Amino acid sequence: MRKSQVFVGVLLLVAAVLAVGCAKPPQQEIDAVKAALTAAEQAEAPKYAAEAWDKAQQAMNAVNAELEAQNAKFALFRSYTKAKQLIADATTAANAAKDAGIAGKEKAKNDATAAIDAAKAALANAETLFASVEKCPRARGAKEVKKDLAAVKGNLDAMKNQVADLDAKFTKEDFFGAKAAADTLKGQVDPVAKDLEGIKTKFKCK
Amino acid sequence: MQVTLLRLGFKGTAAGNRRRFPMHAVAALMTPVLGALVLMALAFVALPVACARHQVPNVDGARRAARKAIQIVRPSAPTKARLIEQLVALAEVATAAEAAAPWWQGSVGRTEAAWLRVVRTAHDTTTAARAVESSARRAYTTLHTDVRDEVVRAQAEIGEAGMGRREAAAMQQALLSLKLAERLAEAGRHQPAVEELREARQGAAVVHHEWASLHARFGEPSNLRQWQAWAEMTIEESRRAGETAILVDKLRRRVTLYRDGKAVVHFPAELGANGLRRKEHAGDRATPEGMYRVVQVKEASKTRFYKALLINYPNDEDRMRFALGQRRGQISAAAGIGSLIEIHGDGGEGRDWTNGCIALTNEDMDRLFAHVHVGTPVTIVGTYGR
Repeated sequence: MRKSQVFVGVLLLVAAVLAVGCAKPPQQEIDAVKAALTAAEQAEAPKYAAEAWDKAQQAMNAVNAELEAQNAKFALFRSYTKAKQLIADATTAANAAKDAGIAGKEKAKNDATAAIDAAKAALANAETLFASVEKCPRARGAKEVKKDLAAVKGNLDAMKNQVADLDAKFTKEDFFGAKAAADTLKGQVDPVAKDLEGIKTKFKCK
Repeated sequence: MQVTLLRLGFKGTAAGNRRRFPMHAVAALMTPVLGALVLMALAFVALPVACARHQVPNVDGARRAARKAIQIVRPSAPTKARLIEQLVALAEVATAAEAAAPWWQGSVGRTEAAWLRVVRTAHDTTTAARAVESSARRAYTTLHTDVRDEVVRAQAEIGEAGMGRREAAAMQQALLSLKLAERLAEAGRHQPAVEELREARQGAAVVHHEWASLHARFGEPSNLRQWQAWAEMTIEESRRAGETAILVDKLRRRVTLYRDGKAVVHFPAELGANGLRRKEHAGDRATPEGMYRVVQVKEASKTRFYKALLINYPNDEDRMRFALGQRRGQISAAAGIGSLIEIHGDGGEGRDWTNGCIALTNEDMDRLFAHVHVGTPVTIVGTYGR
């Protein structure tokens, strides 16, 4: 009876030591940081927030290295305290990358939208001016305007086609390309509108 | 004591043993002690070896190379950049594992192999990306000069009489694409810049094609023969009658005054906005071709273009051709043949702008006016050799 009590006691002690000594990797936190990193990638952080994404990657690499280092140790000597800290850092970095990716994409989108809107507004203005000049008998009859009107009409047609290209680029989420194209288009429309404005003023068109 | 000795394997009585004890006992005791000492010595030697870790190579250079490669590759090939990132992650794990593993668990060269793979992939992808970029840059540089020249040429051609709205749109598209290409190239994005240059070239090609087709009729032998015949007949009439005659060369934009069959003076002229085409119907802004006569001399009060010489367009041949065109469906049934073709003033714009008339500067109009009367022959040809 006394021997068996000692035996049970020793067993419990061993079990307790094993339970305390064999630390397990913080799987929940690891899953969380992986999910955060995936979310950052889905938020297109590599494209729109490359720096933040690189930081998150490096933090995740440090986590993996620490986990691997602990796994290589004898079970009783493993400790995941540092790994938990690194995971927390990596999670923060991944979330920051995700936020930066979303913000970067939003900024690119807003910039592209603003540029496209500006180009469309400039084109609409040029078309209004053209319509005004076209309806104006004094301007239409003037020899310096006659040939130009046909050319300007052609130019405006081409510019309208270009607007369709801008929208296509925007829909494909090529925001940088859409912005560059919109800025270029506006740069072409503005002088045309200026010329039309000059004709309108000169011939006092309504 | 005997019990102890017996346990140690010695036999005999205590008295007997007392004589031999020191030697045997020492020997007997020394054996396990020596064994333990040997074991301890071995342990001293073995433990450092057993606990030794692998020497982890310094991989900072590889890390830096991978980071740089990712930066280079990412804009043009994001999936390749992601691949390098994943390989770096694996290499970091391998490095950490090797650093922590005791010698009997480690794999010789695992870290080096992992980083070697990273470096090779980084090198290959960077080289490929640089090759693509370099090739695109070369293509851009070569193409840009050509396309810019083509666009400049198209800009000169677009002013040609007969260029329409479609050509203007193509010209605009070419200009837009060229600008965008230059902008993209400045940003280092040569691949899309090359695509934009190709767009620009297509736009310029539309203008070139139209220009070429406009000019093609000026090289056709049958047209040249016809124009030559008209011109010679007009000059001959001038010579025979001792009168003045007017010959208009559309391609050269030139009005020549003949007297007694000899060219007296040339005036630069401007044509209809589609002046290089042959007039087919009212409103086409083309300048007619044929043998006409002045039917009305208009002083300043009779015209809004300073002074004017009205010619007898359409003549019989024009009417026949118009009727034939309508029968064949080439000209709309609702279209009119047109009229009021004049040589008038208010020119000097340096471009073709009229509705089909021929415009001279007011000074030239004054000079011409002095030699012309109703009935003076006016022959308009595409081009004429002299």
